[in-house]
Amino acid sequence: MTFGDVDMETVVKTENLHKVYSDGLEVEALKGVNLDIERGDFMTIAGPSGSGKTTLLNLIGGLDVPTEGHVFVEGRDLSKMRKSELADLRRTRLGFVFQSFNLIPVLTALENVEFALTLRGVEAGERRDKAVEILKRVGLDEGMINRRPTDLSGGQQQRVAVARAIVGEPALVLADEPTANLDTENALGLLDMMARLNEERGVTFLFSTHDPRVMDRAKRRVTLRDGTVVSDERVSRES
Amino acid sequence: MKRLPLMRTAWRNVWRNKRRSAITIAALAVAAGSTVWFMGWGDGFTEKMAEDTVKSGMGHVVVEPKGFEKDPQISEYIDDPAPVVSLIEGTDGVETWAPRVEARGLATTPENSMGAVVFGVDPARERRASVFPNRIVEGSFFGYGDEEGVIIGHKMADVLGVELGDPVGVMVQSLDGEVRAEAYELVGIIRTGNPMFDNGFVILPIAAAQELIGYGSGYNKIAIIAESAGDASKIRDAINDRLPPDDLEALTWYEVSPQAYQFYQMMLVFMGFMLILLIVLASFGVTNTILMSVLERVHEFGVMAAVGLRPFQVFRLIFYEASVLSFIGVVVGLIAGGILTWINSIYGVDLGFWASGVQMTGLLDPVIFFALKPYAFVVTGIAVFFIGVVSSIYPGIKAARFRPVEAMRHV
Repeated sequence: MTFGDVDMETVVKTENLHKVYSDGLEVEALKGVNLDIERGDFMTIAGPSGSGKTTLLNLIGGLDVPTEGHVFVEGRDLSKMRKSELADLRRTRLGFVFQSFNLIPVLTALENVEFALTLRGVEAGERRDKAVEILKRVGLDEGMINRRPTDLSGGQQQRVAVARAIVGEPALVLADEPTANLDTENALGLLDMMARLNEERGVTFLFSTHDPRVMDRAKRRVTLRDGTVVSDERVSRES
Repeated sequence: MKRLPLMRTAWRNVWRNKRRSAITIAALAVAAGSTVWFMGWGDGFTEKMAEDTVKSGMGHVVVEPKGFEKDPQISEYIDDPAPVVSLIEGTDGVETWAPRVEARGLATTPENSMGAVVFGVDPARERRASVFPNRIVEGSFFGYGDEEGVIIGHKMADVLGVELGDPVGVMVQSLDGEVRAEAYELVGIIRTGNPMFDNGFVILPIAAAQELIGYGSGYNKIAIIAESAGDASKIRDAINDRLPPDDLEALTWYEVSPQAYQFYQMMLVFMGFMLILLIVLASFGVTNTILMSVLERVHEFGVMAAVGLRPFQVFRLIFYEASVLSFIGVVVGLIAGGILTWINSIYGVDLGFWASGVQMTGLLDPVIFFALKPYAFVVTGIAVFFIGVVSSIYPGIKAARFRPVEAMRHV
């Protein structure tokens, strides 16, 4: 079954994606990126600093608008959507994990996760149960869930951020350098957990990273350089 | 969509920067408190002004020859008061009445003289119609049926250099055009606090004034005291309907004393201006602090947008924050302003330093007791809360318009 010219198993499709930043000096961050992300992918976008990784993630997540080209998420052209529709799309279909965690500082860990569910209209009782369950699943024990972000370690905050991103069972989780601020133990624990979610629940993950710990686990690796895709390889794993 | 925990988030956001929130709350509290205090003063002032104008001999309604207020001529008077008095006594809402004879003249002693309003009163009726009998500071008011004696203000007594028992000459133009003078024994000195009375009034028993001017049993005016101040215009209309249309007319106190009424109106405009000024200042303060708090949290709004908060929900969050701040500010302000107004309603504020203004308003004494009225709290509470939340509109729109990626770059 197709949706326009997008296959339904394609979660994201980018067409000739350009992004130019013109804040004083003009910088072309993306120079015509064409990319299809399949449902169930656990993929990385790697590349040196300034190669356009974060820009690409932001455009796919509808957080920014391309200078030229199109992004389709589950067949919907983001350039044709209003701000509120983009917010709805992010709320219902996408999850974000940021390098700097980006939790809401006035809410506790539990409330941060609940916030995402509340936005989706989940009832209070169900919301709490789901949030507690997902926080346990990402390895945050009961004693931590009622703490505010400032009272949690970096690793714990990132677990909360992942929990917030996946609690609504999005079609795609966009993770921008999620392990950059974590020590090895925390980074590996988090990656294991996300890999399990990918395997067990079929959640699609797209990582922007140059962390080899992440790239080692990827099923697909895309490399960007100077705003263009220079390689796109699928990794076959033997179990 | 279910109810978002925006109010809870807003509440916590408010207390993240306690100092900034305290400044915003203080700005709103000062606006609300000073508005209540100011309205208490204004209400107390205007009520007192109306009451004192009435008590200073004018009454709630006055019956007098037509046009007398604009052009007081000695030849214009009520030469046969009996039917008018009967009409007044038959009018609903009239508590009492008192006759007046008024003329411009001079108060003299062998050494000195000064311009004065000669004010003839009925000693018996005056006790229920004005405050003058109660404001005697030396001597006494006229006794029932007294036809002799004079009462003057304490300042006039100082200028003329007279004491109780001294003769005071009173000179007026009489009905026949002659200038007539008579000396009376000073039987009382009054102190009202209003220079117009303390410095410029000569009070005579009405019989003496009638004889001096040559009115016989006639009056210039009949002052009417209403059972309720609010009935003044009703009584005026009822009397005017039955008065001979070309000769006499009934007027309310605010028609007779346009300067007092104009001052009253001026006070209302001034109060309105002050209130607007206070509220505008408060709204600038609130807008500024909310805008600051928005600009400090640009990154956070980006995160909220990234997890799916719609622009309007971001706006609502800011709006709720302003609502929390405004509510607390209004409650604190109303309590503080209420306490201050209550204190001033008991102890009053002495405007004695502002003698010319006091004279202009017709106040009998310069101490104003504030009025504590529920409407002032309701109006102020609603107005300041409204201004507080309206002040959040611009910062709210600004926050709602941030593009997520740009907002999240903001540190």
